[in-house]
Amino acid sequence: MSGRDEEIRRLMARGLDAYGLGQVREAVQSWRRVLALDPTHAEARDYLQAAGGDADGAPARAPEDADLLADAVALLRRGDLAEGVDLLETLAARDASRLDVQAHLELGRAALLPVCRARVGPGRRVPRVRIPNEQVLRYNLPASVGFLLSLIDGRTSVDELLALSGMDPLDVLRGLASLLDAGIVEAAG
Amino acid sequence: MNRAERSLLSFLDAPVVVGDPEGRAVYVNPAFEARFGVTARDVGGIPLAELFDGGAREALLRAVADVCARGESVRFPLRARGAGFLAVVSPIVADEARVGAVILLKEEIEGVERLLAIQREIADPLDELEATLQSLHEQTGGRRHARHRSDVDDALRALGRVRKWTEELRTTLAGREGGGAAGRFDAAQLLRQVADRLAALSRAGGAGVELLAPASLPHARGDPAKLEAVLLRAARDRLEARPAPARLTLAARCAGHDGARAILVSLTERFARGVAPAPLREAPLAAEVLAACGGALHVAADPELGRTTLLRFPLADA
Repeated sequence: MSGRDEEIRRLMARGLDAYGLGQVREAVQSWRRVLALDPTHAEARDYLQAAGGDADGAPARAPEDADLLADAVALLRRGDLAEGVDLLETLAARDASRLDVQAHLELGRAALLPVCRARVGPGRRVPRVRIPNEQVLRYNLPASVGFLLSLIDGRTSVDELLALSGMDPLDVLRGLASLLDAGIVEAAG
Repeated sequence: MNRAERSLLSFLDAPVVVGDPEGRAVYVNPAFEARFGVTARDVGGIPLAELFDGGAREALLRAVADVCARGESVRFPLRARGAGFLAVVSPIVADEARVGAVILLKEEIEGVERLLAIQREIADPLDELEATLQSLHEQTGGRRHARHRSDVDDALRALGRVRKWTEELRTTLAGREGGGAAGRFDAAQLLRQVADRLAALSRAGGAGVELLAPASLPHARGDPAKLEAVLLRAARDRLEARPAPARLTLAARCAGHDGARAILVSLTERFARGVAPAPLREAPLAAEVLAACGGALHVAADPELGRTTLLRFPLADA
């Protein structure tokens, strides 16, 4: 499965999870991102229509890049930094040569970093996995978060994870924040 | 050092730094500023040792000590910021007849030019040799000369290989000529160097410098020393602006898939509301660096989110 297909699968599942929890706006955003990656994705289109995807009730359409970039900037401006960065990453994955998208992605990444750092807490904190290994499989974790999870052993601090993983610090802190939010990991210290 | 001497040195294309009898830098010329990403104001009074790292630092200090003690010039090879230089350290009489040092760094282009000239010299007899072999090839067309023809074919193939390797030599040397337009660098590593050098300045100014880069990245094509100079100049301009930006983020990542991958290097500043951002004084030099390697520049600004200056470099192995 290519990275794009994996991302589509993840977004479809995330949309359904959100829809099931009554978070329609989040679900619609996930499925719109699927259409951004694959405008012919019939399932995403159906779900969007079922969820009243567009405010005016018009049939769901594949959003234009310009719309999506404006959406992403609006998300960043109103403080929905993770959503804005997600959307910009989707756009950047679709066309990496779009330097306007890449530059806005950097604006979003720079703004998101302190938020993630605050969520994760001081670098000396030591994350620990709270759930048995077999339960981890139930979560639809992206590959990078799965790798991060494999490094969490209850002895390694956040600062050490940042150094050991070799990953971009924002990806580490975002991954840790999402693991904390999902209750998969807790941090002490 | 008097104004006339400074004026003369400022016209030199080669980087020059002048040290006083105590081993402190008292002047660097514009070529040094551009190549090493410092300003004359920054270096005034700091020890010469702080301008260089590792082995270059030791070699330079040894040479300066020799020059000051003996009053004679010293020449030695020096590697700094990923480039090779021939350093020429000469004595200069400073105040009260004490001796300081003028250090001139000449890039190792002479040797490259000489090798390119030799490559061109080799190409001429190769042309003659090929013409002769082609002539023999035509004369040995009949069955009677089958063995000779086979020998000539072998010789032509061997000649083809020699041509290929001399061409490879020419391409490699041409890439080195002119200061590394065909250079390669790990942007993540380069940003760490830049962040280290900015650390003291950011502490003094109160603005934080964040680094967003993985441990390593695929090598990008471009001149690392010039890029470092661009980033240092850009970051210093921001950090020295008053009021300074609330935060400065240096980032590098690899973007794209398969054959369309590129390295993105960026500097993002979040400025306080109502404060005009610093002008992009580094833009002309950045454009020059990018033009030499086929890269591109983009600036995105938003009154609430800040400003990003993004530089895209092609992959070295693309």
